[in-house]
Amino acid sequence: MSSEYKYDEQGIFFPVFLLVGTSCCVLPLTYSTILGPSASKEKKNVRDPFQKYRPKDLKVQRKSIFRLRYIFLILGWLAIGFLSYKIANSRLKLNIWDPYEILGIAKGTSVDDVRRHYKRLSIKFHPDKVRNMVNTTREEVEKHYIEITNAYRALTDDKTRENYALYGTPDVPQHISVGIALPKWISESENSIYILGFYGLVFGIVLPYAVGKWWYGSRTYTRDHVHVDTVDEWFPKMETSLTLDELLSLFASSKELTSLVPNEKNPKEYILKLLFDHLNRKKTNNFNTHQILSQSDVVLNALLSVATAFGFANPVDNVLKLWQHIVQAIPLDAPFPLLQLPHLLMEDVKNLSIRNISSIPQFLSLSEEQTKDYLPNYSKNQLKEMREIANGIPRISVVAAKVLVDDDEYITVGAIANLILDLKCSYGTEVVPEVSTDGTETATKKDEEDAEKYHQSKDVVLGDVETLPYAWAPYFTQHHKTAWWIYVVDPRQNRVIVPPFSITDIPKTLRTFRIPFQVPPVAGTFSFQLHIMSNSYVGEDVISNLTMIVKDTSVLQEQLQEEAVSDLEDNSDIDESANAGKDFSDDENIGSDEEDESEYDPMDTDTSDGE
Amino acid sequence: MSDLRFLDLVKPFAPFLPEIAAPERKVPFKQKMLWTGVTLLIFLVMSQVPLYGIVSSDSSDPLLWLRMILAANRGTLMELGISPIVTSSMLVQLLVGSQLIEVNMELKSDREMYQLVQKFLAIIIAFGQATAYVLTGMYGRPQDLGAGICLLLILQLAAASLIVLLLDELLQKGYGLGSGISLFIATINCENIFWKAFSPTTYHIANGVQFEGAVINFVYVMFTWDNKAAALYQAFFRSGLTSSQIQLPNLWNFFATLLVFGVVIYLQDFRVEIPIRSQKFRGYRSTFPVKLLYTSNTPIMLQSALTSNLFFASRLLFNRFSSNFLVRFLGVWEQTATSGLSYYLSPPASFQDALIDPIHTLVYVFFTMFACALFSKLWIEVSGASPRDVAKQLKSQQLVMAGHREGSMYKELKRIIPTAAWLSGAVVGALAVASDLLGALGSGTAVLLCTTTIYGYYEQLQKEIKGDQYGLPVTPMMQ
Repeated sequence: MSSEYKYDEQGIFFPVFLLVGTSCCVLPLTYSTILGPSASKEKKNVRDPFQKYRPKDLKVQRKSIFRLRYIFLILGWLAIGFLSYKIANSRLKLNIWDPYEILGIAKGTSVDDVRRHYKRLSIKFHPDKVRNMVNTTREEVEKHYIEITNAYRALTDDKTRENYALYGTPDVPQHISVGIALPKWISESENSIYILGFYGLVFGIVLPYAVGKWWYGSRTYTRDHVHVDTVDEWFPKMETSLTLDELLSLFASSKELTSLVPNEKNPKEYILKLLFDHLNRKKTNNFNTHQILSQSDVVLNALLSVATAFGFANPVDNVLKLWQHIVQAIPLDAPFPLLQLPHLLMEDVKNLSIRNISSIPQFLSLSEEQTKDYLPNYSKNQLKEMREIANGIPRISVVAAKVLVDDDEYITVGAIANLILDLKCSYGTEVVPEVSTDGTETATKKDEEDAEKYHQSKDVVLGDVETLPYAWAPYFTQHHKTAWWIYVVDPRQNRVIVPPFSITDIPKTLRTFRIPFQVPPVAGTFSFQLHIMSNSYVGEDVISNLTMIVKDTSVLQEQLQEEAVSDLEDNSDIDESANAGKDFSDDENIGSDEEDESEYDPMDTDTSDGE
Repeated sequence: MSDLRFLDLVKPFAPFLPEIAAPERKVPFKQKMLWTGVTLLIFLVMSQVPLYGIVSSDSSDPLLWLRMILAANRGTLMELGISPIVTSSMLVQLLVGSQLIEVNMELKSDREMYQLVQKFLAIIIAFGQATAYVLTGMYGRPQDLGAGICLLLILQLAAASLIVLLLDELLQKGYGLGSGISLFIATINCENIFWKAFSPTTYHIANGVQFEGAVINFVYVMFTWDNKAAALYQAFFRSGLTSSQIQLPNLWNFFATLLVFGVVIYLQDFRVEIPIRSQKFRGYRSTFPVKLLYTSNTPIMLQSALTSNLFFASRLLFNRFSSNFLVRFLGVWEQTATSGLSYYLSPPASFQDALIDPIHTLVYVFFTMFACALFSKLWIEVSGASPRDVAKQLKSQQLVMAGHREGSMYKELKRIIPTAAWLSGAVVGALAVASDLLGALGSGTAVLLCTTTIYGYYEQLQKEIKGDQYGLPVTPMMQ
């Protein structure tokens, strides 16, 4: 366009531009704050059995972004209000020629009325008729009369009327000037240094900084949101078996935790001390303990993935056990489930276990008198509270388990099988008998239907869902979501066969999970173990035997022969098929024996699946 | 190879054509995003850098309505936009589709040669177009410019086209996301739509001020006009400044654009899912989706490349030989085509115009739909999405259709895929026409290209986030 852009000197148009700009940011943000997923996430309708007894000073983490967002929203709405007010009150003083105003009649008056009105006016204002020219000169009177006549003509003559409607004047089209709704000071030369500086700041510093932060930020954190240094610290220390104490010291050495106490000379020792105090339930009220606990879920989750990547079963088991101990604040050497109940002291728990009462169902099966007998030092209310809490703790139970290959009768080498688990949560004294498979299970009608449903959409939920309340963990100083990790191990080789898979919201009724995994590439009978470990409660881990009979593909020979008919197409893409096969064997090292070099790559680069 | 083939003619030039080396291993997603961003930045800078040596570029623009589709920007290095690439790929495809040149897509060497031919042709076309632009006086009369400047201009245009070509190749070879062409078109169009909705430019005329941006204008008139009903009407249906030729976008255009956007995304979900299972890994099941928009935006891109070149040629010829019968048959030009073939193949200017000249509308609608369907059909043959290619691809991964014998897989695919291709082309063509008639911002084609590209990126992002759930063999994906 031409260089003669008119800037907004009167400050009328720029506010409009600003208003639209602000609204475009504020309106969607308001919508997402009020109706968005972040607001509807909290499900309020779940009854929390522990509500009455939860510690009142629970420190719920508030995200600071949330507060920032509200401040931004309020400022945004204030700006919108102010700009609207300003626009509505500033009328452009354009000399708009309005014939109706000159004649002093309402807009839209009919032609006849205009004519009549004009006649009346012309009698009054005609220069010949105006007598008392006291205050005005003759010229002025004439000018006024010409104006009236012009206005009259514009409203009666067809051609002028049309011109007026189109261009706003009775004359021919005017020059159109193009402007831009930006204030004048932007283009003024004395301000150019600031404008250029602003551009320089945005494109020279802010943009590269943002890109750099995004780029390098993605390299300093792993997929599990922990620092790469943490994983580097852990990885060389992974062993085929690790005790809870060893894992606790790994946990304490993570960068997430050590960075919380920057002033300590030996941060790891200090954290370990705090953690031991926590596990022994010493009341310290140390703020650092709270900070450590608030980080622990993320760090333990990462530790679990490192242990999984390492591939040995024992560290995986123990990470989950450590998690339970930290959440419940139970000493590592005293895994008594009854310590989870309120008020109950260590020595009483030990006494109970001597009487062979160590699990929660056993505790609950005692009659009230027996309880009082065994625990004479507690008040009636305290005992009632213990029972209520014990009744509210969910325990996962396997109702049925089997391993099936869809559409096939047998499990064949290298196939993709599904571990099908029917799970439920039991409460109180209910004890579900242990389930184990012997490899002879066959698909039922329901399994086939489930397979079909699952196949249609991977997100489908088979069975019921029941939102579980936060775990009962009074010493954990914050909310903790109850979840379980399911995985399959080969106890003979101490290897993880199916990596841990976390589930939550298990109902009292039944929910079915299908966990696909690859069958070992050799035929034979395999005795695996199914582990289901809680991340919140001690003493309710499920370990059941999982026997799998893997047959050679020759049992399906007839079927295969039928399928391998008529190979009309020439299969020349050899390298492609070879690649596809290689890809798969690279990715899945299931069943391959001792492999000291692990493939775990903290950088998350996709090196293993080359094209 | 006994006789000399067309493909072999390009072989001697192979060492001189610049080429991007394919990445040795898979590029991580974040790196791809970075590459894509850098590519886009280079492109955007190029479409802002003015050409050196222009006297004037204010003469009427024959390709104005095509600028959006070709991602071209007047008077800048991106004057040609992506038209050389699109034109060359269209030409080669037509030649292959009509069996004029013979390519065996199953041979790796042939596939490489095929790409080489495309690139070679694109460079030639870039030079040709640049020369034509300069010599026809787009930037002032060649006599005034002088030979040196003319040569400089041609070189600038050709070099810029070569850079775009390489940028596109960079993305396509796996360093970036999607194809460069789609990315550039989508960016330019988004920019255009955004500008038309929120432009702060004001037009001052005697009876008031109008903003260029449709949304901003709506806010302004609603605040300042006393008659709110009239203000609402003006915001929705203004057509421009009556006292001049300036067209201004209104809210109706804006909402029509959003509507087309929504419809395209809705249609993306229409698909036939062929259940497949693996022979190698028993129990593995997945689906092979055949979308309604199987060929996505390719047909409309090729169709617009065809018409744009036709119009350009017709326009040039008309300027030279305006009285020749054949030339007049091809198109009579004023500001836009007013009669002749070009007129019937160009979209009606508005809904009223479409009603006034129904023959024009009908010809345009049928031509667009038919051309798109045809291009779609040809495209699947060339791009390796034909039933035969898909069957082969599935087979090489030992995947078979559930409930079918392996041999019948090809037959089954042959039943579904060509139909999908025809339909895909026709639907895309119909959508382009519909959005033109509705008055979507920019042109219908442009909005369509933009939407399909953005949706493609969305899908890629989704795939990246979800990942491959359990490390199972990946479903073969199209494109």
